[in-house]
Amino acid sequence: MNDLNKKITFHVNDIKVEVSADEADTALVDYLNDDLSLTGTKFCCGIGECKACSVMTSTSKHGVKNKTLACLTPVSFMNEMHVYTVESLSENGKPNDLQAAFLKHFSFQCGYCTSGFLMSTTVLIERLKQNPVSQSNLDKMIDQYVGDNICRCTGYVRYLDAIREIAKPYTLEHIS
Amino acid sequence: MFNLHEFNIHRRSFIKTCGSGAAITLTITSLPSLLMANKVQANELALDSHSLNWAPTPGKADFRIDGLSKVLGNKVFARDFRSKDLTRYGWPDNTVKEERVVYALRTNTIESVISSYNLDMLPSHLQPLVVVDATKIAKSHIDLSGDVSDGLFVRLGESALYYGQPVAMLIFKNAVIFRKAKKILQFSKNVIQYANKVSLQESKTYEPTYDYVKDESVNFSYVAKSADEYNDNYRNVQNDVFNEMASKVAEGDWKIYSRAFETQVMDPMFMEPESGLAWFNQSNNSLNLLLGTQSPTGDIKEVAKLFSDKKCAFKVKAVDLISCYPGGGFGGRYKSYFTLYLAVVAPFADGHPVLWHHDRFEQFQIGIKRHQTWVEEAIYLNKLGKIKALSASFTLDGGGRKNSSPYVAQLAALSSCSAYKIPKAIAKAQALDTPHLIGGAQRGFGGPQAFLAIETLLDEAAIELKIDPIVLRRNNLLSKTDTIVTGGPIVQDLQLEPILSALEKQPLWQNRFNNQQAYKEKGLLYGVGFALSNQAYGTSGDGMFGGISIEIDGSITVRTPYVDMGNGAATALGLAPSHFIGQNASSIKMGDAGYFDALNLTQTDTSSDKYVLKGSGSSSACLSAFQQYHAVQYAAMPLLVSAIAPAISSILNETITYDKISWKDGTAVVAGVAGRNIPWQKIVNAIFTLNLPTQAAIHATTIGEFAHADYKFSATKSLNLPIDYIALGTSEVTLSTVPRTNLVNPPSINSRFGRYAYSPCASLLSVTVDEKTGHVSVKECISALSAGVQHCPEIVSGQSQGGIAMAMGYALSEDCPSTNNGPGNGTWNLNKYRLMKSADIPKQELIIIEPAKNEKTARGIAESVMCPVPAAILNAIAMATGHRFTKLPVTQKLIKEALS
Repeated sequence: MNDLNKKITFHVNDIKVEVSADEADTALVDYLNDDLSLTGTKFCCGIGECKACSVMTSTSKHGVKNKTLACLTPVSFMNEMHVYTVESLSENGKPNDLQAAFLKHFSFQCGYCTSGFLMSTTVLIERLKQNPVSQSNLDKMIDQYVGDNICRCTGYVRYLDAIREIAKPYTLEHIS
Repeated sequence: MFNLHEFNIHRRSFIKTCGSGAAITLTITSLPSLLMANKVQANELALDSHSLNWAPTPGKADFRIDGLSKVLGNKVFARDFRSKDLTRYGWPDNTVKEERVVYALRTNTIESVISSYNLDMLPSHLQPLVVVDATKIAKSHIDLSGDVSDGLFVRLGESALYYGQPVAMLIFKNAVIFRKAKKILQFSKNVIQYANKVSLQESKTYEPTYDYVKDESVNFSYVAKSADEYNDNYRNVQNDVFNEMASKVAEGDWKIYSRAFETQVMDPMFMEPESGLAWFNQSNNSLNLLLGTQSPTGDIKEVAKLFSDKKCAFKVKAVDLISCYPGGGFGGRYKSYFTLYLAVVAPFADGHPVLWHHDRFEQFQIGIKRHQTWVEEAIYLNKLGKIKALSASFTLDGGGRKNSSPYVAQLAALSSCSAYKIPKAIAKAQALDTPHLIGGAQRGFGGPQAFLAIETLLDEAAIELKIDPIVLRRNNLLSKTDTIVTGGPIVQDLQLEPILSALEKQPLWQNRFNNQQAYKEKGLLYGVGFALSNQAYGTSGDGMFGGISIEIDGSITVRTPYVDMGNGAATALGLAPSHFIGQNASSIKMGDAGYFDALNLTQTDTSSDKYVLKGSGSSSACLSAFQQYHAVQYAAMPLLVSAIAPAISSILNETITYDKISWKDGTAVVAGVAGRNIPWQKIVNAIFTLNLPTQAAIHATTIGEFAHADYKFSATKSLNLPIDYIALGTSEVTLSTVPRTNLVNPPSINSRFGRYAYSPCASLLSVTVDEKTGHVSVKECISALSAGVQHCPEIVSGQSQGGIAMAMGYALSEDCPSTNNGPGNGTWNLNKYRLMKSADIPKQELIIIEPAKNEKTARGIAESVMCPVPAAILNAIAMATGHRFTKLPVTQKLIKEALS
């Protein structure tokens, strides 16, 4: 078997998946949506501008998780990687704390951008857990990780309210 | 014994008889209805929030009724579904009938004749299985004479009627092949061959056009005169008014403030590009669709028309539409052409389901837009700052399809006088038929353009007359004895004075000159702008449906034909049953139009007990809080009278009438029966035991006031209710009409008002302007809104926040040029179209004015909250820079040019 016939292997929400080499240039969002029926990851612009398709990726199950744009990323780039989608956040239909905060704050309206905000914020929280910042720098961090996520309905205010609430316990002031 | 309450999967249909005499059965089903009817577990394709109660307190939402599904990433939107998700509903298995994928081959210019198209650049294994073009459509006798189907495909040898008009639809074998082929085709210059250039035709005008002339001094207006009198005389009165304007200005009695404005094409940029599934089932000739549309009933009727020709190659007997939550709308999914194309291509797929997903390039190219608009407006004020007259002319570029363009232009004209008493007014409106981007219904529906003109002119006048801008507005406010441009009366408390007062006292306004100085010292220009809008909610007359059913487990399901585009309609309507029966809905079936269409109400046969004055309208966001809520709220009343009261009577073994029942924490409290509160489930058990009605479907009509009628429920006196039709039953197939007498419709004169309900809103807003870069930063925005009684304050404020962001984009950055370099050429995406991001968003506050005296209902506010903001931004920029911009968007380049 030559390399061209080699399958691309990676994990999605901790489940191993294989993609044929012929599909190497398929966008991750298309693979998730069409092949795995994981449609929580949304296609919106397809050119990496809106961040609606944000997922988390890491080199190992417990590795550092990064934000990845599933519309721009071919599945070949995911070889031996771990991909986490919005479907991984809840357990048995029970929303996690961030999802519950989005609900409580009425953060979203149409909801199409919500999974992108959830995954971007989850990466932010991971970072804060590793490298907490002072409360005065929190908004800057939020902007760095979520500031490019586009929402057409809400004007962002209620997303930010929820994100601040969830992120606040991971600031230096709260940890100390 | 047959139990009427046994589970029943009957889906209600209605029949459309087409011009050929052929009858096509139409069914519209909401996605939740489909899932519930097939006993799908909520957590499987969860759309209900059973597992986490969204509203445990009657009348109050803890979160959106659709929130859990959306936040979990469940399948909610049309784009989430593949045909394999629908096999349990009869769609074919993918291994038997593989899902095909559709791609539209679109023209990217309007200036050249299309000579041919070819797909030679595709290798054989990537070639489409089927190509559907104008020739194939004609041979198949598809009927293109419908309101919106003319011009479906460009014919070879002709030029495109509008940007993006397809040459052909290609059906690919599957998603894998489609994706590879699309990469080759999408931006290739060799697919469509263009021949010689064509000279563009002079624009025509879409009918109707509008001419409103009002002169209170001679009691002339659209409302004051009959249709014939008005049409015979309005030109003469208009000339008299123009002559008076000229002479008063010449004599120095009136000052004129006049400018020409130009606003740009704006994309709604809803986040989910239009998407859908279709399957023509050859075994029973049914066409099955799954879509996220704002107009399911209109869409399905247009689809039926396509296949109505007796010679049509496809003998479509039924059209079944599954309606999903749209991923945003803002009007852009109202009468969208996406549905028609998907429907027309499906039968060519030889019994295979077809999937069609727009990408963002296509959505920018062909999606319905806010119109480019040219406004010429003059206001005339006397020396005391009283507005004496107005003339306004609105011309909208409708693009290559008529859509709603004339009616958007109409509302711009109707909004021209805004919240002001103007004794003499002339307002004209027209929409042009051009080959440009297609305009249609968009948030505000012409209002933003109208308010931009009058609010910036008033600001200019105030400053020149040295009158505080808020004071000048206060001196000219509409009162209850005044009329709008049609002569239509003001029938509600507009709360204009409280709105002005709430903002006038703000430090942002009071300290604006001091703050300007402080910013100057920091090297920034600073300005504060104020603007007021008087946006209508609803149309010139509105019909509405609402339905409620009680389930055996005590849960309540609300049914509505309308769609929640994210505006919160589902949540508000889910709270509506609590008013009369003390319970929130557990679930809601949005887009359940077929349920109501099957009632077969008529607007023509006045002798029928199913006659109602107005049919059901669109899923406009501004219609949900007042009109749609009213319908659902009153759907509970027949159940209270004919099911709940008899059930309680049975439980208490004495006659209890509906008016003796109130609700506390979801439990019935019976007046005069101390300590005998009845739990809801006990009542429900009695309802089912006694075989009492569990479903109610009602219709209501309002034109300034609600139609009302007497209804005779068994064992009760007649009850007069502000609704014009009631059906009750123990299941949806047993729904039957409740006898109605003494129907009183709103007076016919009300139909000439134009609009009758308003939710005024004002915004006070500060900006800084960087002289070097021309960058405008909106620093703070305080809005004051007349919202009536809020159903869900969080949703109201969310609408305001979203409206402000959208309005900022409209004023400062968003632009779709109607040229070959614009989105019509198929290369536009979010890299060329600048939306507001979170860092752009100002500090903001929304002040809700207390409901007016005796006001017990909500006002539609989804459009209102955006309407004053663009004008407030321009007024703030004027204060900051000393320059009055009249063209949107006010880009950094324009600012720099103005300041250089």
